[in-house]
Amino acid sequence: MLMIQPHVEFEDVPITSETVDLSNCDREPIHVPGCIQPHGVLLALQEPSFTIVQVSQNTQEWFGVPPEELLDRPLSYLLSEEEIYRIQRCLAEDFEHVNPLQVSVNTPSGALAEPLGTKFVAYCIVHRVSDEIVILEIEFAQNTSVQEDITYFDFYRQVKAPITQLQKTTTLDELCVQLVTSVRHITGFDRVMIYRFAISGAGEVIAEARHPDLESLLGLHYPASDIPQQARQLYALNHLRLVPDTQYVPVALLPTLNPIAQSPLDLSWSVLRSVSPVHIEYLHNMEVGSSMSISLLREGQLWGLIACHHRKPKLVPYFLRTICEFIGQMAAFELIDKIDSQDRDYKIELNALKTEFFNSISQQTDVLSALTQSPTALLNLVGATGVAIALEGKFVLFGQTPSLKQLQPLLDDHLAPQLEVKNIIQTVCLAQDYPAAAAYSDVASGMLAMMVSRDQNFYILWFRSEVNQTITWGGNPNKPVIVEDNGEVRLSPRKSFSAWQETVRHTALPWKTCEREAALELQSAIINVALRHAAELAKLNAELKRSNVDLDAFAYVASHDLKEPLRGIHNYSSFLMEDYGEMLDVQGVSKLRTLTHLTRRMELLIDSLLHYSRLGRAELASDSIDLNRLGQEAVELFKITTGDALEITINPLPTIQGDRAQINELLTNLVSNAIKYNDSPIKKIEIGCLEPNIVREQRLKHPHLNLQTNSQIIYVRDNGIGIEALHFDDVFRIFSRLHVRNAYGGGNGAGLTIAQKIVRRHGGEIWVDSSLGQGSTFYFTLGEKSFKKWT
Amino acid sequence: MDLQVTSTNLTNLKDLPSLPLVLVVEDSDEDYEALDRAFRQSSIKVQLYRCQTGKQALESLNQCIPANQACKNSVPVFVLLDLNLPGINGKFVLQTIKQNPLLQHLPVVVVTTSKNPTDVEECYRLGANGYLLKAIEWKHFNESIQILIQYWFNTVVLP
Repeated sequence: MLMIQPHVEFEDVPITSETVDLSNCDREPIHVPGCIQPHGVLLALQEPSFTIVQVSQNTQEWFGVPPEELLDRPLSYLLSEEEIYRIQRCLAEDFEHVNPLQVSVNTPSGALAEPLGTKFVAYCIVHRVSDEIVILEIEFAQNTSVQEDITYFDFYRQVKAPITQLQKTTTLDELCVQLVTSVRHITGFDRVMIYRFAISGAGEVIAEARHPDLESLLGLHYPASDIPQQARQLYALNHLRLVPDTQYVPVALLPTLNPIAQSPLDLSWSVLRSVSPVHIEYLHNMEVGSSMSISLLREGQLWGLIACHHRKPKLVPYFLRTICEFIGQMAAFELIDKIDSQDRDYKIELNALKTEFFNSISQQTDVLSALTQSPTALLNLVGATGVAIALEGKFVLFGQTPSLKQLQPLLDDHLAPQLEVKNIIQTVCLAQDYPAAAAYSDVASGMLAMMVSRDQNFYILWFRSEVNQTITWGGNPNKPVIVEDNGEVRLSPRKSFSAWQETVRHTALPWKTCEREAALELQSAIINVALRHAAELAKLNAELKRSNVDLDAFAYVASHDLKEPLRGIHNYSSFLMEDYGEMLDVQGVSKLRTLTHLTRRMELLIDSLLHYSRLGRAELASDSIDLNRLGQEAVELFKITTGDALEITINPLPTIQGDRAQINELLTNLVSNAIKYNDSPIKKIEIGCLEPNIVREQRLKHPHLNLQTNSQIIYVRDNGIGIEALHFDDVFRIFSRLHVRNAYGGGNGAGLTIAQKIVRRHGGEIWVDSSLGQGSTFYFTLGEKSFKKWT
Repeated sequence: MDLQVTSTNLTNLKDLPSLPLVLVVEDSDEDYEALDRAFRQSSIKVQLYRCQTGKQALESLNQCIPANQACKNSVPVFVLLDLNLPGINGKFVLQTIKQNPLLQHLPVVVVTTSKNPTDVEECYRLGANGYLLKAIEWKHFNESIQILIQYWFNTVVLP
């Protein structure tokens, strides 16, 4: 059993996790075990003299020579000059001389192994470790009739049939099945599987060919810790790994440290390299007597393994191993092609969709209606089951999505802050990042969210519904960790491999790279359209500004010019009364009075119009206004005029930035309105600022208003006569009155219009909630700038 | 020269009789009549001299300057100036008077419909000596004019 100190780090082994249970396995230095498997002999040679500097301690057994005897001797002590020449050519990467090289080993007692016809055939596998160190491994094969001088044609014969069969397959599944069948046929292993890695490092058996006596492992998942990071790394370097007998006794090297490198010999490329004791224990627990793995690489990354297991020890000759490795490489190419063509078809489909969709968007002036015109395209663009478009506080929903009430907090609390710094957010388990989403994981486990425009509060959220996945693990994936009394942590690979099921909830299928790209392309398509429209809009705005100025000037001039004849009418009526009053009867006098009264009223109306137009033209001052004080002052004024029947409460109000005169008029108008339209014996008026939770309520209730979550909403509430819902908009229209002229103090019908103009000029919104007989509440905000300095 | 003089048949400012003179720049006949009516109700007898445009007002004033020393009575005691005038507007007339060293001592009281604070401010900045609103209520207007007459003739010392 291996004892591992916790938190030991090895320089050249990447550490993937800091948690003790997984990382200890990850930290094991499996590339420098200092031991080899006993089915061959390892010699470390110093170049260029080919002096033996290190040797495995099993030379007595194989060569009849004790290891000490071989140290510091030239290689020629064992091999002929011709064989050494071939080794040198092989190291020089001469095409004629490739591994393995067949050799006969000579010892002082004579030739131990003769090529052909004798007891053993020795194969020499050579590779360079560093500039000075060469590793030579000699494997001995039982001499059977198969072992002949392998020619190119033998190799071709062996691989032709399986490769042709692999190429005939059309799908990934077919290919994998064909691959395991061929490899099992060639090697005779009890079980051959394709083990596919997920990004997390966990694996799944996706194809299997097995002896009928064996239980199937097909479909089982294995946790990432079963094949730890550095093992996966070695698989990517070394495409074939063989353990002929899992019960072997490791053979140490002599001396332990390489005398040239002054460190343990790097056995990364060694075929005889001893296996990690943890892995051996794992294989024992799995009742595997021998194993072989062939790496399947895709773009240099370990995509999967062809894993071969045998219940009994089994030595696969180098020749067959080479064939398997070659088939593995060919299969990997086919795999890439199959996977790519799956993606390719989808991408072509997606591209066609994109082209059509983006064209239709660019032709529209209104992006929202362009997006909503073809909701199916919007969904298919990223393969979503639902989509929510948020624009200026409103949501448009298609397909299966969370409800409006659920979306608002999801956007405000979770997404909007993140999308300030991230271009796009993607998840397959929303509930993991945002626990509240567990409530609607059936429709929104997967989410792809992006911001299109901050100014417009424009977001697109795509959703994918939950896929209730059941993962069948090959045993409990939580590898037990035993902590000894002395604090050492011992890893014990699990003993039970019976299927252990885990249901993965709140999870959707992953988003493909091309889908994410499509989302981003949509984003830039919308922005492009927006940019083009911005130029047009700027032009329109300039025109609008001009026409607004014209309109204001018109109102101003018209009011002045209207007033002149009006004054004339009034004056002449007065002169008439003064000069000829005595000549008129009562009716005549009354009619003249009415005439002067009407002129007075007309003047009031004109004055309001004038004032209203002036509001639009005047420069806005930016004063710091304490609304508490301003409110108090306004209230004092009303108390004097209205007397005791008035009860005004002012709850704490913020300090804002704005035009003092206008804000004063705004408050005065609202309070005056609250007093005027009030029949209660005691007129109660309350001024205050809404609590944030009520702000949200108001946002939901009035989606057409441009309200932000952090909006400061001021309200003026009264116990007055109330307003019917159908008149909520009318009250703000100039000169519109809901009552007969002389009722309720006979206002001129401009107070609320002026209040609205002031609020809008400050970038805010004003609205009313009321019901007849229940009093009214007027709410207003004053835009972002006004609350910038709020403390 | 198209001067219109009420109360007299004289056509030239310097030829007017020896009643104190007030120059009224007002284009509206009705407004002028109201003003005239108010002045006539005052115990202080005044000669009104009316110009209907700013141009006329400035020409008349320039005309009477040479006579300034010789015939003091032909120079108005003060000017009542409407802002809303055809052609050159009242503010320009005000500015011209106040920038002319020979005229700038002349009190000018603006009489207008405009309550606009920017108008009020601008007029005082240009040198107006008063700003009177043309109230629609005849009674109020009349009262204002009476106070104005009392102020300029009985209260303050003029140059």
